[in-house]
Amino acid sequence: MNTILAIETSTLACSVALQSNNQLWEEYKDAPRQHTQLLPQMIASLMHQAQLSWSQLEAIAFGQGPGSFTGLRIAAAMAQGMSWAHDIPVLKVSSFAALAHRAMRHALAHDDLVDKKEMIVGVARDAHMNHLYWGTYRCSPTRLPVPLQSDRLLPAEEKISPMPHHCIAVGDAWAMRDKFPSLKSISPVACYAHLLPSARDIIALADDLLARNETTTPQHALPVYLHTATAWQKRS
Amino acid sequence: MDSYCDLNENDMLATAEKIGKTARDGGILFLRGMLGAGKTTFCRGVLAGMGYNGRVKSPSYTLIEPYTIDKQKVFHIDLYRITHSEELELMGLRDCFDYNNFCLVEWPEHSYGWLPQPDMELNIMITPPYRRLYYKSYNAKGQRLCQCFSAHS
Amino acid sequence: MLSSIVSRITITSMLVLGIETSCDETGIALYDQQDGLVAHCLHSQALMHEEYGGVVPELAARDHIRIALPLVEQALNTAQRTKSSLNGVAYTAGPGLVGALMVGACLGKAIAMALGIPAISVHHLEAHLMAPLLDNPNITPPFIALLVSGGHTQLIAVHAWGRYEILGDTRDDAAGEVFDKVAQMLDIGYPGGPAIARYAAQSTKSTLTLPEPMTQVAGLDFSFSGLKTQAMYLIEQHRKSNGTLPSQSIIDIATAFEIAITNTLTIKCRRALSATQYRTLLVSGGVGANLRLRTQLNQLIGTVNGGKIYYPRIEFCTDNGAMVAYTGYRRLSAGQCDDIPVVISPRWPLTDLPPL
Repeated sequence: MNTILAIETSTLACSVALQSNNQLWEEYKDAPRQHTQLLPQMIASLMHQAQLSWSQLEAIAFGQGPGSFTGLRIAAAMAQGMSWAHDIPVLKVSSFAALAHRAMRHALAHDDLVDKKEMIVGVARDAHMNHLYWGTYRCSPTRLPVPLQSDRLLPAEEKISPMPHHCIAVGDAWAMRDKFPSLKSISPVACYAHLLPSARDIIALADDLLARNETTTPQHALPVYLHTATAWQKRS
Repeated sequence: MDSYCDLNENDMLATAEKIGKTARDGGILFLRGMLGAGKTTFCRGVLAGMGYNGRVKSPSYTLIEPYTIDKQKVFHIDLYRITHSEELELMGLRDCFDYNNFCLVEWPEHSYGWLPQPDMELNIMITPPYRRLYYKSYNAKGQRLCQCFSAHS
Repeated sequence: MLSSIVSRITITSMLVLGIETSCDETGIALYDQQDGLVAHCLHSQALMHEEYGGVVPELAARDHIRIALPLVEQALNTAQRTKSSLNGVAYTAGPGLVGALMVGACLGKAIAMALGIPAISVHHLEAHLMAPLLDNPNITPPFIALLVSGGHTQLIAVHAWGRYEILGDTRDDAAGEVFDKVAQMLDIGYPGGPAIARYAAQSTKSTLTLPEPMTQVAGLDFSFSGLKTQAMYLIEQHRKSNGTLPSQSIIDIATAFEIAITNTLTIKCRRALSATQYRTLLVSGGVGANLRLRTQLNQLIGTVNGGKIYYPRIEFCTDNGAMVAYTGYRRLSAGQCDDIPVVISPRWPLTDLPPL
């Protein structure tokens, strides 16, 4: 187990987790618009609890998105600054993979209906402006979420490829199926619309990325918005 | 928008003040029109009618200028530079549209689909020496506001 | 904001990293207590925003996060310093665009936390007030400051550093904003200030006039919205039936507009000086780079007994990291620094600052 600090602020949940010496510390708070105020204290508190110095960190991970643009930039800027200060590698983790992981944890802990050997997770979150963030993951109790296709941005009306009946649904868009008719064709075995990604899940995925040496530099610790800049209308 | 009236600057301000006096119980007013058409001037009149006599800065830079007039919260909002709803969320705009607040929204056309329906919509055109104000109501409250134009139409 | 700048620290020698991301410029600089400004890097987004006719907040923030850290590296390389030699980090915390401010503030805070050095929130307007000190460290209050930019038009009595009194403010649009909007109506590019000045410079004699707003009434407040509308009328009068505007008309309108603004600003500065009996004028902000304004203000100061006038160098009129690094240095030297939370203040009254 590597010594990793992780930040996840792609939604209204603000969370930080620290893994060191087979221990995991986490701070998690639902706190819309308070991420900048909370994050530094959360990080300092975890570093203190674990009695770690910065140079002992082997990597800093953050949820790269998709999600709230501002939230993604807060996580990215904090990860950039901390990793740059001590030349620590950065791990970029999909916030959707983290959410799929959270759904799996939740299913294992609470829901007997789910086939526990292998799960397909459909991650759907409201991207506003009649769009949907959509991701599909396969995971099992012994295997981390693997994307079946890359996370994407879809118009609300666009068809989604069929999902198996035993799939798990996670993300707020599942509670807004009137707004996203494409989700109506899917009948998941369990639906966790209220769950949000947390830094604890980022750690799980980051540990694997670090083992595979899939790190990046502080300068490249950038959000993945999915909404490209071309979406902005220019004024002639 | 079918109804309109042609007003000089003073009449436009007088009408705006009347709307301000009528709109004491909250509401949403959209203001359209090109740069320099007089949207902010109109808002200044509405705020004056509500009893506000201080500075009315253009919100182009700050995006939202809040006012409290006799406990009535008023938000003067400029969405000219806004092209994505994420920015609206970030600005905390959702909170501005709470039930009893009065919102004056310039350049709403960039955020249709996200914004709630207004009570009244105005479109100000420059037709020297007048301004032509097209107005449209969306509900009973909007109709009351539109009646402020009746002396001039 | 006041409460967050309470902790006391003591530092003997100091190298401060300054980060400015409040609007559409990414500015990074290093200020050294002994050697002064040792590096400053700027990335302007003006070209990107030109296509939209103004700053798009989301695009500005996206650019800041891509550019800021590489600029920090560049600044350290230029100054031949290492990150471990940093003693403090200063970042603009307001006023400005909230999403843009967050990038610089979070980056700065994270660097400071990880290096175990203090961080300080800088008020964007105080930084503008201090910009002339980068070249003239001996400027001392009291004086009158004219702060004119795209977001602000203020006359400020600087009684002492940190003790500011707003004498006059715009009642509607900021001067720089009206430059941008009129330039857009004339279709001559963004940012509007330099574009209008470029056309006005081609004028041989001014044939048109525009009213000088708020100069006929007492007081030090500004109002430029009416001027914008008058310019609009003038433009429509000169427009040909095919919709085009003859280039001579553009030159004449740009000239009339520039003169109306600079005259107004000059008249108000004269009033502020005479009301306070202060003899020094400090001019800062993007519009402070306008040559016609500088000429007129120099003439005004020439009429004041013992009068002095200070400007930042042209490149520090607009937003930059150097003024943020310097302001942060001044406040850190005074023993001030931030508490742990990052507090962004998109609307932060200058008068709320603690004394320095």
